[in-house]
Amino acid sequence: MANRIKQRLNAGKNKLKYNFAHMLELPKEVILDLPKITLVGTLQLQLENHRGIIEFSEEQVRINTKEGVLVITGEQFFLRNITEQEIVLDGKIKALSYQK
Amino acid sequence: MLIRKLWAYFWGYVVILVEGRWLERFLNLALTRNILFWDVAYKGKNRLLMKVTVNGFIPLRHVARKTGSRMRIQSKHGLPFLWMKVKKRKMLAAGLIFFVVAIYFFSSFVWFVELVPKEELKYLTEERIMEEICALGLRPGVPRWNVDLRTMEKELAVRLPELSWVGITLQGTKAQVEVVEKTLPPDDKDEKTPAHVVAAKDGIIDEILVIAGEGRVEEGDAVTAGQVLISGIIYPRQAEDTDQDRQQEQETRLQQPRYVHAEGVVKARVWYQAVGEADIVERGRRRTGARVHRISIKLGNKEIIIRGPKNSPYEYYEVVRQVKNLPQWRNFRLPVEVITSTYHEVEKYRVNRGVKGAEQLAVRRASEKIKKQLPAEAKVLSKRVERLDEGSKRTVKMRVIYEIQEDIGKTMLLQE
Repeated sequence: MANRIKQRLNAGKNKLKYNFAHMLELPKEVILDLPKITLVGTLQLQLENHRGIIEFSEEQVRINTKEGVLVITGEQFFLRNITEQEIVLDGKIKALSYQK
Repeated sequence: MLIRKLWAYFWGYVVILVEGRWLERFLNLALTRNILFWDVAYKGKNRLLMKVTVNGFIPLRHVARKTGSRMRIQSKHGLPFLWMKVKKRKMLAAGLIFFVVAIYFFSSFVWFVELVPKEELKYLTEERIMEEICALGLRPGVPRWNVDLRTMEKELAVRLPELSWVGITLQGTKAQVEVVEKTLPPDDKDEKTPAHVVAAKDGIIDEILVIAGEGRVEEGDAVTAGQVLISGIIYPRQAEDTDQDRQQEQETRLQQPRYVHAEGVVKARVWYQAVGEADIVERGRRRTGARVHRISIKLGNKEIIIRGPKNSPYEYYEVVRQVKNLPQWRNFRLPVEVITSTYHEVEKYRVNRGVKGAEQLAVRRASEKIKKQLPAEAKVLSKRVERLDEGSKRTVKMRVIYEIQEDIGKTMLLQE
């Protein structure tokens, strides 16, 4: 498992960071600056480490992250809270996907 | 989240409607400028409704200008706006403050004094007690801080010796005075009331000493409870005088019996008996002393354990549950209970006393029962022990009979 993740991360600096994080058991989203998504059922989505909103409407939200664009589709979207680090999105979540 | 909402309410926030073609850019720009906003709702194409702090509103205007959006304030919330409204209506605010102060002020006085006799008053009247309470300084209109309840309780009991206990509690503006009267003994010290001395219990008279009245029993007599021992009615003796005139005179004078308050000491032998039981081999459970507490809250039918184990950690145990309810308000009771359960570990034990040991224990138990009934000045004359069930192999039953000498005289007022 760990090997596959290593392969996926492009070599060099990232690999070093990953090994470092893995060894010291540090949260990887902090070291590698990756988005961390927490879902509460289909009701709420919490996203840490985002890089800005690309699109916001009732049925679709697109958020820029380091991994690409996170596309969330559903109904009745509502931005409960939004800061530079974190987004809390309420609504009825149907699908999540990453666009490169 | 709640803290943040309170914070926003404290400093004030506005609800704004933003219109523009690049609203996402508007949001991102606002984020990079550290403007606090939240609750962003989609209101159709190119329209967003959101909340923003008062401090964030001015920099947000720059953001709007840059992204070519239009902002409109929909409503204003929070304390600063409330304060502005209040400033416009000064009298309302003054009235509000006055109201709170007045409530506080007037609730720091005693307005009602209530007398609650625990039993029906026999020697005192309510008016008499209320008079004393007033004299002590507890009356409607007295400030609460001037009322020293404990000294007042003591002082009231001193002023009214008929009271054995006084308890004063303040419940808000109501002072409740609870009183209990002493139970005074019936007035048998009054030498003028005619009375008999009667037997309080069955027995055989050992000694009789008449101080007043006429002895009706002699030493060695068996008496039953209620029997007159010393009579308070003295019948006239046969006149022995030979003088006719004086005899005549005396007869008319002595024809009527004299009534006195009989008094005397009547010592009699009485018997007390009791039966004690003991197992030859006793089995049972007793606490080992180890225990564990559990605190839980019961909400409706659900029990939530706050502290302590879910199940008893011991194999054999006893549970003691203490349930605390929140105070009831009218007919409404919150379905919340705090339950403290204590698990006591118990162990099984087995003691073999042998027949001798069991007999001794049974006698001791019986003697203890008797000693509880004995009067203080009783003199033990003899003690007899007999076994009741010779055949039983498991238990021993012993009867103990005490022969006691005590004063069995009891004053009984004569019914006129």
